[in-house]
Amino acid sequence: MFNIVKKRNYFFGFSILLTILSIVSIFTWKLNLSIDFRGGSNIEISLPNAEQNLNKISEIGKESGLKIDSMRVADNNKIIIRTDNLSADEHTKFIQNLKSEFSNKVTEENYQTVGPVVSKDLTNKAIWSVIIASLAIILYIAYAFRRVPKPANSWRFGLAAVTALIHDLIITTGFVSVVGHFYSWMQVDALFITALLTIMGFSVHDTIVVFDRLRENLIRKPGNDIETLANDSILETLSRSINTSLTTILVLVALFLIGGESIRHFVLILIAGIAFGTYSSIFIASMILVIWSKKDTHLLHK
Amino acid sequence: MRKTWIILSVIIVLLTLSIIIDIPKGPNIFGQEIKTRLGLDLQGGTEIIYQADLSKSENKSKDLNNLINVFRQRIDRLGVAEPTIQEQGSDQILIQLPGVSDIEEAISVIGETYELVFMTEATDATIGLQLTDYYEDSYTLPGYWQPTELSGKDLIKADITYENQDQSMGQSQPVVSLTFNNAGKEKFAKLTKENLQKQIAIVLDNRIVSAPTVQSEITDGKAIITGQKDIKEAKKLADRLNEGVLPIPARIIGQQNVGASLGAQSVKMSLIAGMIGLFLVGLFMIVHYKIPGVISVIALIIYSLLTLALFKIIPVTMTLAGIAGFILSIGMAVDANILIFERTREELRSGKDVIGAIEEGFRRAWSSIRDSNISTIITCIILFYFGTGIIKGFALTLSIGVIVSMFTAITVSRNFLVIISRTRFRRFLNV
Repeated sequence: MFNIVKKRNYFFGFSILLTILSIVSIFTWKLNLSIDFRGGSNIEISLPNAEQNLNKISEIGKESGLKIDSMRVADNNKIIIRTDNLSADEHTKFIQNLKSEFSNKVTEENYQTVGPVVSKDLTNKAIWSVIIASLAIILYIAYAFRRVPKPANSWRFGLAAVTALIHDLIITTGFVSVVGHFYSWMQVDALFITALLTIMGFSVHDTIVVFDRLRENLIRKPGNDIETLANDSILETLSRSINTSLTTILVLVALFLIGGESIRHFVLILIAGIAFGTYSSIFIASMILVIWSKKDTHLLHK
Repeated sequence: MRKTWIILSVIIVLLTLSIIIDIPKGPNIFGQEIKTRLGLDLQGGTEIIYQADLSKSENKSKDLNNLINVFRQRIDRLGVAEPTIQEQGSDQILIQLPGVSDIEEAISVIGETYELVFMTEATDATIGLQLTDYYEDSYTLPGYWQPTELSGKDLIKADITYENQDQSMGQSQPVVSLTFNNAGKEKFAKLTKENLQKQIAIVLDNRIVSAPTVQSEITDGKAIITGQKDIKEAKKLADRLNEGVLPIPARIIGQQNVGASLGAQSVKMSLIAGMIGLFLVGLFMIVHYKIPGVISVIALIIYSLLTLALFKIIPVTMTLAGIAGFILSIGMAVDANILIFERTREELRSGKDVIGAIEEGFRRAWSSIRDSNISTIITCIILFYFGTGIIKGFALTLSIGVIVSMFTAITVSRNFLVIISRTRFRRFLNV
């Protein structure tokens, strides 16, 4: 029988390393914020031979009074232009100028302007949702696991699950920061928030399945120490954990490969987040419970 | 045994209903066609967010509601099918116009300010203006007009009432009646007193709606505009006048325009990807779990049909984030099956017979299915409460999906396992 719990320090080391790297990346490479968060305008146009016409478009942009922040080509014939907040007049002028230059070959596919009020709103609401949801999860788990036999404590189950969850969110954000540093399509936008929430749901879901088994084992085999029981529980739920993540990731990989440019970053964040979520529910969440109760017994024997 | 068959027939009834609803051209129920609502990111269209300036408002929620009504009336004139106009937070209004591609035109119609003023006769062009008729642009009314202090700001509302104009015919004529506030009441009394037997013009957007001759001093703050051809015209005028009352300035703080082709492409791609993904999941389940895998595929298909039917009935507006919520809920529905099967396997290994193993496997799997899904639902409720539009859509589809997945896990997966365990196929359940 494998003893995963014995090797817990490796997993903790690995997780702490990833967490630190993520935080470092978030602070040095920053996040590639979209206009959803920083405000501004996004214009997406389609034009044959987009690549060759980039300079021309940037010139037209300057003539129309646009402060172009970045430009990139997507799906061969699409150009996505990010600018400072545009007024309706500036926008109309730019599109008219484009049309007169390229005749009717150019079409505007998507246009978005986000004022600073809206972007601040989204950030605040997202942060509060995550905080309140985390608190609610702790409360619910503490309630659902209230029958775990002593010395285990149901509040610890809740806190451990949320610690694993925060670990997943930080590492996923770090991942987004790293990918965003190299690929401009990896943006932090409203879909990023959705992805984080999805990962949150998945991570807790996964962790609870392992905890549920631990709860059962604690009741069924009262004599055994928590280290053995945690190890048993992890191994017993291992094939379920892997199968479930695998099936979800299968769907996501299909979406990633053919789901189109507009949701590619979203799907990739989900894949990474669900992978980390599964990892943490197997290797981190239960281990936190184990060292916590070890510490107690240690103190008791002193 | 009887219970199993009852549940099975309930499933079949629900399934039939949801298939009828899921058919692309939805059936008419209560005279309303049931169809899938697509969000702007999927069908293309325009979104505008207005920030209302409520700093001078005394009753903020009432004023915001008035503003929403004004916007709604103007949007109705754009002829948009199924527009969304709703408040967002305490002082923002979100407007979504599916299918509208010309954002500038939409803004100009929605944001237009209608100025309502009352004018009196002027002697000549040096102090007066010449104005055209409201209904007939090419017709310039005789005489000159000068503005007074009385304006739309002094108006509380415009209503349609009926007045017996032609006693002999016994027909009542729709007219528009104006109600002034206290300041307006005084101004109007003064105006009617000073202009006895003269005309007062009611001017909207610099065009004369009506120019009645003052018969007597009016002190009760009520005026009546006659001369509308029919109820429709009267209503239109009343609406315009109410719009002229618009007391709150609003400015645009966000806008978005999604091309229809982009939206259609996202839908198509996401659907194809979703199908392929589901096919792979089904394949995996069958290869890995054999007969139980087949059951889970059937359960998943039933699950998808039920969920989509619910999305249509409620109705849920599908967005990319909503699709994400749905896909995640599929993952959780598969998970419920996997949990049951894995647990059943364990019970079989420990030496139980097939029927006992299924019962025990389900019983033991249930607590983890329940607890994990309830925590997801709690998260969804919080997200729905605190989130913005995109987060709400996600939370809604995910929570519906999770609830349906618990239902199908209890009914479909479990009962199919039980039914098969009672037939001669039971040996295939041994793993």
